[in-house]
Amino acid sequence: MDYVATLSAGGALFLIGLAMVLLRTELLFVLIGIEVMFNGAGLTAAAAGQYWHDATGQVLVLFLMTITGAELAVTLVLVYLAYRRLRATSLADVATLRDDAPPEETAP
Amino acid sequence: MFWDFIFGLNVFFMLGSALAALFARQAMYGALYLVISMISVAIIYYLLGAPFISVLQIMLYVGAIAVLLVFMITTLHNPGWRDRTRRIRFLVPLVVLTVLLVEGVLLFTTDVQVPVQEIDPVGPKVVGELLFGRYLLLVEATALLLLAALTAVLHLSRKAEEDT
Repeated sequence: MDYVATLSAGGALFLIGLAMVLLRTELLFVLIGIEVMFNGAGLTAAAAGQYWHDATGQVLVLFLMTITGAELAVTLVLVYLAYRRLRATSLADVATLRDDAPPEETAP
Repeated sequence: MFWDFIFGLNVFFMLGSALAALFARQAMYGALYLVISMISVAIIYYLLGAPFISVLQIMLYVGAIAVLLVFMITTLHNPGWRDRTRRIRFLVPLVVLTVLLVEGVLLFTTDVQVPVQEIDPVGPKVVGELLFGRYLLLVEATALLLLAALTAVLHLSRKAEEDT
């Protein structure tokens, strides 16, 4: 249980999540990638906190979990709204920013 | 030595399932691999000597966030759900989850802290004292953030109902 191994594992997890956000085009996979990135950041924070034998890292992970929950609730509703209004499941379908765009224009 | 092996196995599972989620075709497979990755992260937390956030990781991520994600995946219409011929792909997450379950049982039935001499566990008491001592203002701010998120979700879902 080396701290260096844990830190590099957290960094690798963060990179995989970043690749998922950047490479996948589906909205739900982007959300999953953000979750993976949060996990990697939390693992790094916990390993650093344990390295200095301090509970601050765990407190940071706790706040990270709460913020992830709030973020995921809002973004899932946004994904649901994007599907209901625009029939969009991928990032290319929600490329328009206009609020009054009819769904016929944006549907694939 | 044995727990080092368990640790390496968990790191392998964590990274491997994250990679499998990266290359998954269906969103449900992605969510399932995300759950496996989160459980592995929880076991790594426990092995690092942080049991409080290990349990919270299971409760919050697997219990709340993953369920929310799966619920939303089933709500959204999924057009390409006809991949029933290759049933082998169901077995891989099942085997990994079984191994993780065995690891969890091992963790809580055997005394893990004896072979891990370089790890000093930081218990829930210290974390709680820090949370409601030095970081009390941040806890209040997080409560406000959760309330704001709740209000936003309620408003947006009301708007979604009005559209139909």
